[in-house]
Amino acid sequence: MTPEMMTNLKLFAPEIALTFFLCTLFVYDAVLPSLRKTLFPLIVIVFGMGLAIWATADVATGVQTYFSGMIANDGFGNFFRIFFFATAAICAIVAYGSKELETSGRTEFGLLLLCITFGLSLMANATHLLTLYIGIETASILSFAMAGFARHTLRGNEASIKYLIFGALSSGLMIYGFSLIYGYTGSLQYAEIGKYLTAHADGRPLIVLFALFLIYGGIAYKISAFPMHFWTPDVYEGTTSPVATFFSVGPKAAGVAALIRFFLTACATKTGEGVWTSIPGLSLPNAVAMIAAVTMLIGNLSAIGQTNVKRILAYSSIAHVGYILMGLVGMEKTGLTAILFYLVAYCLMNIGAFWVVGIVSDIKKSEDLSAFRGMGWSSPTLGVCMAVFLFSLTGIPMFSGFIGKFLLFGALLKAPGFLWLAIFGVLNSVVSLYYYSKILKAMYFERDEQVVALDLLPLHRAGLVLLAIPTVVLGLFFGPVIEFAEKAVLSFL
Amino acid sequence: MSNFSSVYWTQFIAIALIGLGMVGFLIRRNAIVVLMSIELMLNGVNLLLIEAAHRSGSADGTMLVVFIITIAAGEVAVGLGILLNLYRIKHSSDTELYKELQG
Amino acid sequence: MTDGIFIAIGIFTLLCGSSVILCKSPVYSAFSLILSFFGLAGLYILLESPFIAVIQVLVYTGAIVVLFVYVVMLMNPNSSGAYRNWIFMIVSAFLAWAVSLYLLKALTLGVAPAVGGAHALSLKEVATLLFTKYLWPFEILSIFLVVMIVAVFALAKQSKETPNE
Repeated sequence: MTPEMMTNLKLFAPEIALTFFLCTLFVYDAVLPSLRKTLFPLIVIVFGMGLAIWATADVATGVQTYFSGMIANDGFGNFFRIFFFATAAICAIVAYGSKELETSGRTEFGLLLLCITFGLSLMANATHLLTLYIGIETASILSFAMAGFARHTLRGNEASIKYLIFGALSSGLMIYGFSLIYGYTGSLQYAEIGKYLTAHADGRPLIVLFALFLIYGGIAYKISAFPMHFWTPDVYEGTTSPVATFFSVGPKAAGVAALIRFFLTACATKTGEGVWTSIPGLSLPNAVAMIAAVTMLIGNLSAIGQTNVKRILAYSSIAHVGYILMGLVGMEKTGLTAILFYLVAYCLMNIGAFWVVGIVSDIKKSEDLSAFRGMGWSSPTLGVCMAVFLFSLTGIPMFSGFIGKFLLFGALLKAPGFLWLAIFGVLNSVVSLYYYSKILKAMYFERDEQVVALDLLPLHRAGLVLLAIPTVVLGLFFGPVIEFAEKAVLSFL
Repeated sequence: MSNFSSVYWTQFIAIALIGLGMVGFLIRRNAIVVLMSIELMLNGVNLLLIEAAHRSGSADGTMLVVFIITIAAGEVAVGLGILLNLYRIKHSSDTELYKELQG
Repeated sequence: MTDGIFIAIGIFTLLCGSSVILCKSPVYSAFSLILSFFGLAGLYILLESPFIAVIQVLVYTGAIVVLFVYVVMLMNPNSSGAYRNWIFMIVSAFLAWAVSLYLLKALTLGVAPAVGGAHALSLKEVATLLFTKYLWPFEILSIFLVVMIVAVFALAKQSKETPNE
């Protein structure tokens, strides 16, 4: 073992820790199958994620690529690593309290969760198209299987086959883009591609733009941005709530990170401290602005007519991707910082909202708006927490979602010529108020005919409160997180 | 073998295969055949990569193809597993009948 | 001479490919898929990549298509209504044809740089690369495959718990 290899493995320690716990879970489940009925799988996942976060903090000093330049180790990537590990740990807790997943399937869920998190981390840190491909496929193929866990229900299976067929198509188109880029530039390394594209700006065939569009399409499928957003509501509605909770946060953040890393390295050059300019002949800001505008418009308009709360939240998650992409328009550090902050806020409030929906559908066997009637009075904890999450999702002042949006719009105003997008974004937020308030109205101003007592587990109570408190606190004391995000962006490779 | 006409031919075959895969994806109703069309598309991509690797003399393309083939096998295994589950409930693999989720 | 063989194999591959998407019965589609994969393996040999050609036959034909055939046999293929409606067909076929033709023109215009000059990758070189530079993704793939096996098991196993619906 060469010393270089040792350094490489050290930098890869968080993922190795995940693999170790994956194997632990695997072996223990085979030897002692009775353990899967206990807390054991949950403890292994949460402990594993904790250890991975600790290992990330340990390596988060250098800025370099390793494993022959295939993967990066920088502040930006490490921010996302910690984000994924924390998200996965929260989602494991959400899944533990859910009745939708069979208790016998807990170990499989845990294994898939660990391995998908592994894939997400690769996606966010990839600096080579091969790494990106492996990361995306690890995350998505196992996600297809995870969506298929609701295997006795027609809807669950249908959701998962739709997810799979369109996912396979989009990843096929994505590697079509890879092959065109490789055929043109002769390299799979982001940095090399960027160099070649910058040097050969004159007479660049249109096919390069086509290839970049295909690659964008592959990543857009993971973040459910226009034009690959259509699967989202069907899949979230059809699959179980804990799985939808995870899909709405983890893969989206990873896709956003992969998008930022690919387009800022391969299609742009760093022109200063935290400032990028796109390669000649390609206006990245305009393209991103158009995509962001269309994505948030589609998400918000489609959500208006829905009555299924999970579908409403699915469309709202599309709209939120639109908001997040606004941060990339300026191509400089304030925008990226805003994206990172918004992702943290989005993680808290979105997991919370999906969790409430999951709890309600566990008890009432329905995710319709009517199931939420009078819930604010019959179960104050659930009602207040849901209200906090919805206020934050709308972006009402005093909540973390507001600060996130404020930062995104502020970064947008710095970029000349994008005032229209900022106004458009604000108008969209107003539209979103309508459908979020529909849920609030059902909870507080409508009465249920038959009152069903909502028995909450202590786990649910504690968990929701623990998600609601930071949602509020982050809206008041946002300084440290912004500082942390800014530091992460500045050490972008 | 590196003259212009063979490059042209290989690219033609590869793109035609990708196009066939796309058409198959769009026109077929049977989910199994849809998955086969996607495989056809992946093979077109592989041919394009091998051609580019052969032309430029770098190894990256060849390696990417090895990984694509392995991952495609995994994708098909998961896909057919889900399809069998669906078949147990619905007794059909016709995608036009999968209409539970809409709205 | 080689050009003649190349063109012949190419046409054979394309014919088999079209028969995959046109055959009404999925069984015929699967067998056409096998034939087109053999054609592709031939092309890989002509492109001096024998390793990929072998992998193509072993993995694609030997594992993936066999899986397809197996599932087709399990599912009792129904041949009624193989296609979507014909307007959809014609439009999509036309679009695919036009885009492909355009791409072909665009591609040959932008021929890539020859970094090290055309040279074939021998089996030994492939093996060396796979266990040095590409060892890391190779290992990741092994983890992925193990978890995938678990996932497929979880999907396929018969549960004793009562179904929800």
